[in-house]
Amino acid sequence: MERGEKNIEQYMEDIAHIRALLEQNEERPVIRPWAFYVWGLVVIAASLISAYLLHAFGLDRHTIYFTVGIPGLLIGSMAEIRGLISQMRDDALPFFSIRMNRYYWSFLGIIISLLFFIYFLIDTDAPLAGLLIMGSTIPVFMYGLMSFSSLFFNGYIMLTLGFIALFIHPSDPLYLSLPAGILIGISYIIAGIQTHREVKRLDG
Amino acid sequence: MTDDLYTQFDNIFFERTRLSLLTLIRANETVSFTFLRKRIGGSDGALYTHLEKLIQAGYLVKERDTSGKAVKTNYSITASGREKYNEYLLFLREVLNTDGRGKGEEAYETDK
Repeated sequence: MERGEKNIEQYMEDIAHIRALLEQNEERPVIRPWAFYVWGLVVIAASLISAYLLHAFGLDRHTIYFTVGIPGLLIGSMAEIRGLISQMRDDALPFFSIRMNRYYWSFLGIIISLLFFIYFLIDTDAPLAGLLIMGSTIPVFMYGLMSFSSLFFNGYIMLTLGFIALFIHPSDPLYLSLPAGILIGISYIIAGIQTHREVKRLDG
Repeated sequence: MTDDLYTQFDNIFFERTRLSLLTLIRANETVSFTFLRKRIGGSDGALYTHLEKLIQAGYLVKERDTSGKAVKTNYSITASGREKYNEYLLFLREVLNTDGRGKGEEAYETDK
């Protein structure tokens, strides 16, 4: 190989090309967009069922947490894992790369912290709806970090809405919980649509 | 050091598509043909030819995956491919440092 075959400018182009490729490589879906839709529908369904159980049967919040919240979380998590396996298989990417290990540990940490956060929050007089909306943005931010940065926009919109909800004081705080749950569900569905559009953009 | 290094590289690293393929496969460990086609573009035939050259050079291995609904071809980087690639990154750094521009290290750090 003659040194003259490739000049210094071309080497610099190689470096720029490698950097661009690696940056692009970070921008890819971790889970299938439909996993977001499942999460959204699960959250909406759980909110409706919870509201019904509260008003029709007068169940307390902790009972609803264990009978509706935890099963909903399990269904959503299973859909997410299925969406992850499907996506990884399609791209033939390894399940235990450095990048994916980061994802697993952050996913597990977020789920555990949200479980405790909500469990102890429902006992307090804190503005639950606003805090739930704000807490729901954590997974969206995680996916923004792991896949497409456009998801940050969704996260910040929800954060703003959650912040506004902190200052709304209805006669019964539960009146705000149902719209909050529906709003969270819709935001996850929108995150799925965003991911779907980004995937289509990548596929050209 | 630069002069000693550049002679070690064959034509593989001096072709943009093959450099791209190695960069992506090295970053992801194993990837499918479909993934590479989405990322790099071009025709299937051209991409396949480049991949075969990398396999012949001993930098990649391919494996047919029949576990799913469709048969897929997956590509992984070999130990020698990884080693050569790392050496090439080092080479790029040396070349640029020799030239006095000092930008090679930045790219090397990005890829580490």
